[in-house]
Amino acid sequence: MLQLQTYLLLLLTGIMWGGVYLLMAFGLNLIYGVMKVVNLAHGDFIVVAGLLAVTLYGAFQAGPVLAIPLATLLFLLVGLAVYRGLLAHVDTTGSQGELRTLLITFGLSSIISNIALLIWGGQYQSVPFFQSAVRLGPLFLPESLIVSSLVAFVLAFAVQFWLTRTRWGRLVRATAQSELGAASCGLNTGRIRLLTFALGAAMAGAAGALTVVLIPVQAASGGFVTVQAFTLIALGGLGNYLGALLAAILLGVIEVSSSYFLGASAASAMIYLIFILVLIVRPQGLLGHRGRI
Amino acid sequence: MALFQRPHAPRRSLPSGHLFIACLLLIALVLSACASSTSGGSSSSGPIRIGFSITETGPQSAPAKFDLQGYQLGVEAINAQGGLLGRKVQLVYYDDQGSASTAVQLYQRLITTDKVDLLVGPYQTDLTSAIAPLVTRYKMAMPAMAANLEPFSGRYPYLVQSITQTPRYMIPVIDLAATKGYKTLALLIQDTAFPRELAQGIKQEAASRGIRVVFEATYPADTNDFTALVLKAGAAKPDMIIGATYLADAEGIIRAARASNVNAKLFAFSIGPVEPEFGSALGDAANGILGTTLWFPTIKTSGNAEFVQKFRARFGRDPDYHAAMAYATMQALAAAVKMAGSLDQTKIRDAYLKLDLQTVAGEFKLNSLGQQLGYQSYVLQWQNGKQELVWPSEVATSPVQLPHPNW
Amino acid sequence: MTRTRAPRVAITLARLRQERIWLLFGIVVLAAAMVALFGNGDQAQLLFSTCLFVVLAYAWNIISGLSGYVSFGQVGFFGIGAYMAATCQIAWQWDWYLAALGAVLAAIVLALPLGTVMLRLQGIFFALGMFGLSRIGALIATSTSLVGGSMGEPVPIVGTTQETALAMLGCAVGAVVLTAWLLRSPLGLRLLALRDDEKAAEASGINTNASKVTAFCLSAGLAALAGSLYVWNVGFIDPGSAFNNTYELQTILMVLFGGIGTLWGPLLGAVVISLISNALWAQFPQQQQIILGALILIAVIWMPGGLVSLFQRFGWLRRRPVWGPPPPVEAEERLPLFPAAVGNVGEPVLGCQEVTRRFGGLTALNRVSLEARSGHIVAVIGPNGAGKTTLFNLITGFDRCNGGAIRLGKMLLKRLAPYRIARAGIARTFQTCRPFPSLTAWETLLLPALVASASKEEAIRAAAQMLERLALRDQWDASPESLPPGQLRFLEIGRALMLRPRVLLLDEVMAGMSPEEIRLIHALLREAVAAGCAVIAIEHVVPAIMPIADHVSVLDFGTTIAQGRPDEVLRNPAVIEAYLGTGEEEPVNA
Repeated sequence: MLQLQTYLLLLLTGIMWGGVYLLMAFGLNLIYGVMKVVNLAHGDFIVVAGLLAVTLYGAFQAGPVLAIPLATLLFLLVGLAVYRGLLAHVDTTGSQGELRTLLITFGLSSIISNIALLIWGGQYQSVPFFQSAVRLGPLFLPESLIVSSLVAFVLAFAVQFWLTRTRWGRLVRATAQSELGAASCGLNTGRIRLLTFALGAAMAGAAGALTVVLIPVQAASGGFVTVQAFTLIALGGLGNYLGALLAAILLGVIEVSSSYFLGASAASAMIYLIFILVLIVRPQGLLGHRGRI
Repeated sequence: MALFQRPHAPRRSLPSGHLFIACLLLIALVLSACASSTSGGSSSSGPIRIGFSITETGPQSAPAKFDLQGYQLGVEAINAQGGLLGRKVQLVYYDDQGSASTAVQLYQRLITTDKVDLLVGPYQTDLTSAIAPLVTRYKMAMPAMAANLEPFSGRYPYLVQSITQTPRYMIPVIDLAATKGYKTLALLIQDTAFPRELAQGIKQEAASRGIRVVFEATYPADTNDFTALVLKAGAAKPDMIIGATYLADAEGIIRAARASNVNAKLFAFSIGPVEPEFGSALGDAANGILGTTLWFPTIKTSGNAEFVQKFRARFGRDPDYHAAMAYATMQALAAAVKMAGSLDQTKIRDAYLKLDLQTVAGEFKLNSLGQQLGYQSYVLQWQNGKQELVWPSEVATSPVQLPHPNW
Repeated sequence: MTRTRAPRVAITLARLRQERIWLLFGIVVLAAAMVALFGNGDQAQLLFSTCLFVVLAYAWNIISGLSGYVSFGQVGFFGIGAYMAATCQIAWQWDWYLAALGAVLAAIVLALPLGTVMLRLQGIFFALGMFGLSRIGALIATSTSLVGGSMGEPVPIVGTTQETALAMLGCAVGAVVLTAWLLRSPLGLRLLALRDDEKAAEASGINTNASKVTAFCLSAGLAALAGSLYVWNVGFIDPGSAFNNTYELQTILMVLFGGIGTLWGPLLGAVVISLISNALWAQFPQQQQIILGALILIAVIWMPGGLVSLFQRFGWLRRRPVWGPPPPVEAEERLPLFPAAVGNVGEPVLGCQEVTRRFGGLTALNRVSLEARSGHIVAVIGPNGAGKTTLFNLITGFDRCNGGAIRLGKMLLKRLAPYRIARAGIARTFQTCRPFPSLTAWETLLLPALVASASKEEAIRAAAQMLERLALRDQWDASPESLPPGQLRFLEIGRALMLRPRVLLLDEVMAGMSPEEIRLIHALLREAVAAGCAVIAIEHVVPAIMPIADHVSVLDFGTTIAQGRPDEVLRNPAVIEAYLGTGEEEPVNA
């Protein structure tokens, strides 16, 4: 009985961690899906948003309720500026287009994280919110995890709804499927890309301001967050929303359960192993589509 | 067949004039690189120069800056007392950015280009391990604030330890637990060098005090989720949960324990509670948690009160244990040079090994391998959002509050 | 003695003058060696780390630049090299050069299976898969107690800074020379071709997998060499610095800054970035990383081709075509264009029996049979979506049949890799031209010639001859992208013919061509047929193919609706209906 309870708890915790990872990967996925750009500064957006939340807490004892909208707004503007100022000037087509965008966002990441280092220093920081446990029958579930994963799943469905049911969402999807096609139908694809990038950045901001209650951040930890988020969306099939959801849950459950049964070091190796296996067996990701030749 | 023939532009050949200029430019560049930074060199009349690298920038720069300020204050104190061997003392230092290969490059520069007279160590065990072979090759005596014993295992006879050795970090916690009569222990260890060696020390001390380790697990440094780990530790029903950790993982363990309602009579972490961020990040949850520190402003070591006051006056902030250890390193260096009576590195090394000196960090005393035997560590506890020294009881600023209440 | 030597010296001097860049390189290397020998330890150390990055940059450039497989995990091989060398030095007390050799061999042995599996991945997936692998390497290094585990371990044999800097300089020179050799070797040609278009390379008879894996192994070996020397220099090994991600990123940055896929780009990038970052570190330690980041932005936006592209604007540092210029071909050395294809006219060469291919619910080809005879031209016509190109893809191995069999002579082509089919004597062109933009016209022809010829000399002669035959001799060093469409088409046909095929598959080569050009193609085809080659030509422009076709097969909706002699077929009512339609919508999925 106790065993069963533990397993259930592990499963639930895993799913909720999946939600947190999804939240942190969402903006990256949207940007990749539409623009085919891997934003290497994504993790740094998240980290800076988190540090901002820490500062807000330190100055006004303000919680995530205030920090999230502020960070969202700020990074929406950052996203607009980055697209206008940098990405719009880069030729993203051709065999080296992908590399160029990687390089641009990598340079951006270096700039952001080092400025953050000058401002906030190198210590890990976090805020004390949503720390108590929620009792669910015999199970205790962490409040922070519940909140973060709820937000993640709600956001996932909201974005899905937005993409499939609204006019702007359809335009974005059209651009994602064929930029040339969308452009030839008279869509201003440049504006859609701008919107997408800004939205993706804003999502990173929101995610950062929220997950800082759960994962302490440090100015230099953005790179690691990016890699983690990228692993997730690659596993789900780049740019695929349902796939990312599935991959997030899978990763969360595998991480939590393998760290229970096999030890935490094994869990870390497991994730990379699964990642490579999936790449080899299904290079298009769990739910991705194989590109046409 | 000549259908497609078009006038064909002749291929441009390399303009040789340009090439020649480029050639000259490059050589000039190399030569100027060669010529620059060839300053330095020692003389017997100028100041005695003490070289080191320190992590001034990068993620690890915060504690390293305390080290730097401790060194600076230490040198000022030496100069205030008339210097060494009748000469003034001066620091020569560079920023290693926390990178081992940069540190190697910098100590190379300090030894061969700047030709400094004395060396002290960088911040962090990793960097010390990386430069140890180099320093040994040039036979330079170097006190290093590397807590791990590995660099002091006889392989590098010119290195001496000027910080509390890792295995001793948590001995007072075990001592405290033994006096409270706690019998079982769950040990969570980050899978990096320092925590692993620390855990060895904890296990040895626990065994000698009759405390059983009922659970032990390591986890990688990038672990986010500690739920599974904490649940497993909790399932063993230990009296104590002790973590050989740094800051982020210590916070993660406390969060997971609280959220999963895993309780113990005592929670203690090596690094984590000693940082002020621990309290701001965890809020109420920090209260009651134990941590270790190597020094505290209130302890009654030789000249401690004066050191705290001078540090505050000089840098406008309170020193932490890094600063105290660095200051003490300079005290030991001065004593060793005085004892050696010259800048002969072998004599200085021998002097370090013979020293028995009361410093702000405690008694500086080494064994024949250069391992630190004198320095202690202390237990602190977060009480009402503040750090209080609670053990050993003779230096405590506040009585220890145990057992830890259920979450 | 002196008589024979003098011209040789003169030739060497002439070549040196021709290759001034190498002279310059030699001077730079000499200057660097001086720095190592007479500079202080500090400068030697800077030289060491610069050369370390030069080697890493070239290692990365071979797999990511020349082969086009961008990897985020080549630093894993640096780590493997470092660990292997450390183990050799700690456990067996080997000398550093033996340890380095062991490290390189170990990395290559490991890279062989890894590359074979990983190089099946494409694009960003390969990059990330490699990243994952290097992380796993780091985790293994952390968790094994063999070489210190997570704590690291000192290595007993440590070189002086002078020694290590000189050795590293030697390796850097070796890396440059290796890349230069690659770019002038058949392997380099194959890599550039597969980077541009892997399918077209396969169709030219190139075993792309073997070439990729070879490049991967070379890259791994170089990275491991750098790792082993790193250990020798620092005298300490730990997972954090052996599997250091920032090395990977810095290396990528350097190569892109200098110019990816070029000979001199990695060198320029590595040296310039190393020196800049060193200078910044001295002047602005706090802002160093920020300034470097800004430099990247500036470089990418203003200098997308890297530093090398700036020089290339002035005609410097361009890649020199392999084995060019094409030698003049004397009448007596002329080779027959199709020596391997000679056979009895009318003998069946290629047979497709009831070939079926389904895509999901759509049947693209339904029990189609076709026969190609030596010395005959078969025209395959039909409306869009009839399955013509699918048939070619099945024959050439780019696609697999769901049913039926395809035989070349008596050999069943099932499951044969495309390059094997190409080598067996089936050459093809593509519906839309698939040129290799990185190669010159000359190299485009040389590439398949090297596959089909017994010797290098023969290949050069054959390619030169074909170049002449196609009237492209004056454009021998032109990039295909600069050729007008007609000439590009000819080049593509020439590429296929260089394989000396027994069967030539032409996919709409006459589409959009002028009557003049069509006449030229007819002449070429007649020549091929006269030599005994079997030709299958898909054609949309029916009048263009009919005059020379011996046999016509009409496809519609994946089935053969008519076949026979051209005049018969064109009178067939089913064909007329398929072409003129019955008013229904035409399927559009080509």
